[in-house]
Amino acid sequence: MLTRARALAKGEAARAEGEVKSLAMDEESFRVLYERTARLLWAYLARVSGNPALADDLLQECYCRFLSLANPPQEEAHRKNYLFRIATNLLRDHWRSERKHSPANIETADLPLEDHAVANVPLRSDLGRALAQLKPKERQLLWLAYAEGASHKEIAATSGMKTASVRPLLFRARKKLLALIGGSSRDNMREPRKAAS
Amino acid sequence: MKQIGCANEVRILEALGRGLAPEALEGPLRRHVASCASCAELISVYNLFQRDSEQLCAAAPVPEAGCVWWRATLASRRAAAERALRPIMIAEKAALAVGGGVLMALLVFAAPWLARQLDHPNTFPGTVVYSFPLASLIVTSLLICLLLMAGALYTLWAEK
Repeated sequence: MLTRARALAKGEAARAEGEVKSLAMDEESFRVLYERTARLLWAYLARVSGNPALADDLLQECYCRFLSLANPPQEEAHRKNYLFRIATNLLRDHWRSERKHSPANIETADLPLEDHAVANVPLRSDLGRALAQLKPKERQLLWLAYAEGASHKEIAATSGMKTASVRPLLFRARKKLLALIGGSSRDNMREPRKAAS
Repeated sequence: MKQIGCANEVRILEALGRGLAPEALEGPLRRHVASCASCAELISVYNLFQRDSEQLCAAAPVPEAGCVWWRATLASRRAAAERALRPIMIAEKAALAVGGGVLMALLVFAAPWLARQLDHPNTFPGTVVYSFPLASLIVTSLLICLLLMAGALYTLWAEK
């Protein structure tokens, strides 16, 4: 009887395998979303983790999780924020499992910046080196605020902290970063950015 | 209370977040940035991160969208298949547990009686006397049961 039930269930499973409708959006919409967000998301993952190989893996995992959502956000901005939230959660899970396997403090450990096969990824900039010495939470806050231009509310939603906590933490992280970068590099920062297109 | 920067930083960040370039800030905010060290520092850090982000994004080795879509499709199919098979897996495990439990209970409860039969193979409680050794029959039956169970377990394992 169990064998018959198993055969029936296998038939059901095979039918389920044939269906791709369970994904959160159609392929064309996904392609558009991916083209707009993938590079930004990869840069976030690479800078916050300090590990481009890990960023490669987590990037794909982010989109897989996003596509498996039952009720994905409809607006473009919300979709992007949701992707960053998934990325943040994946990074947190990764650090938790790392901490479990190697009890040493990983927060300020040297990050494997040189391990990536793609040599032209400019991870070893002044900013990259300074960020690598900050705590993961500080790296996240700084990147979301200054690279992504996220508001305090968006940062709170992405990182899972209270909105009121974002401002002081961000301020302290910025001070810490500037102290690490040092005065000589700070002069280079004065050059204004090109106007956003 | 410790100072946590200028109160205008939030407004400046919001303006920058809307895609406004630092030099294109509204008049009052731009004048404020010129006179406030904290806000000037904010703009400098913002510029630094923007440049870094642009460089990283330009060099980011992201896979093709189709590749990620294919991977997500596979993951979704696998999850659907697992969902469909889950009730059967649970039923199988429950059946194995119950079967094992019943067999153990039978062995425990029948142990004293079985021992008696082994001591006096041709007698049975009451008046009935069997013409062949009952103990041998019981032991053979149990062995067959165990063999069948082992076979069933192997079949399950081989299928997985």
